[in-house]
Amino acid sequence: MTVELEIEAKSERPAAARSNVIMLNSKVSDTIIWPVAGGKGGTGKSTLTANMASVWRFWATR
Amino acid sequence: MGYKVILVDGDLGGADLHLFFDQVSPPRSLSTFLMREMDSLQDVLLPTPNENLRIICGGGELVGMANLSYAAKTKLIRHIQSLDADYVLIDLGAGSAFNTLDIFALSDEGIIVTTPEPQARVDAYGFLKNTVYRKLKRLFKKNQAATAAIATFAREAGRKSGRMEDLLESLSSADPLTGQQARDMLEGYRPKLILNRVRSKRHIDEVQRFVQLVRQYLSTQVEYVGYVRNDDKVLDACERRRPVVLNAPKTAAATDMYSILHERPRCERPPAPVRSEALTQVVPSRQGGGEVLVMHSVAAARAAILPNPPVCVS
Repeated sequence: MTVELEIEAKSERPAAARSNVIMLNSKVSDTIIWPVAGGKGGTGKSTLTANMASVWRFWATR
Repeated sequence: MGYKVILVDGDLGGADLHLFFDQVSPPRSLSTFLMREMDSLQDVLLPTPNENLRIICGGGELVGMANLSYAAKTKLIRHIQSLDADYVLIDLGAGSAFNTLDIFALSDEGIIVTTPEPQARVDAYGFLKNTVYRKLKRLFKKNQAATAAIATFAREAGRKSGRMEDLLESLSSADPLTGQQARDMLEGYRPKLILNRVRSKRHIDEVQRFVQLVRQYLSTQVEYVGYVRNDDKVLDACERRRPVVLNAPKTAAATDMYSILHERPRCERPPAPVRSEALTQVVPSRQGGGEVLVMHSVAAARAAILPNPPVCVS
């Protein structure tokens, strides 16, 4: 049995309506995640994170 | 204008980030989401005084919040990954609890903040070591032989020598493919390091040795991205419930933070080369239509932001 792989397209008849089609989720998040940790408490990590977040939007280049 | 940024207070046992953003008693928080009072993490977002920055407050009022169940943790991680934003910053709590490690593992380039004191550097090293082991265990969770070898190494040889290279060689000798996968994982793991509350140049020299130590013993390349000088103005700003970069942007700590941010967030995609005299570059706006003026030097940015907030003009 052959199986057809398709990126889901907006059409009147969804490809998934056909039984031999496996749908691939074509929506890929492009959100960039930056976790901030430290190991020890009291290093000023939260303060630093709050400050970076306050001006991050002006600096980030993607 | 600018990028959409979401700040998540992921310090599950000690949430306080909201105090920087005029949210003394937040109407909704992580606990609202985890208690299923709201279906989506996106619904928990609160505005801040800063345009384009929204915050998800921690759920400190919920008893037991620091000890999330596996189901709650995976749900939280899934929703964080689907947040509608360009950048998500997550402030994690101290320690090496699995919840903290697993959220830190959402990125290969998480940021570690430490201070010059030996106690803080030891804890930062311990945290890094835990993240490496956690990543290896997750990588080989369906490989029983590798999982057993990692667990044994962590208990015995690794505890004595501390050298990750010994484990890599052991994995490679048992199965070259497994060894190579482990090396590839460590090669791609590039955590960033920020040294906070620096009081002398000696502290900066010591952090370089820390980076070498991590490379030597954990086979991991930590990228030291900069330091922030010790500055009482930070505490003054905390008392005013404001970030120091906005409350006192000319102070030593604030300028250090700007310097770090100038260097670091560009790592995802290096900017096009610019001439030294060219302080700005016009790039297409990501938000459809128009162009954005991007500052390319700390001097230009400081000149632009001081005394007013910074600067990315359409």
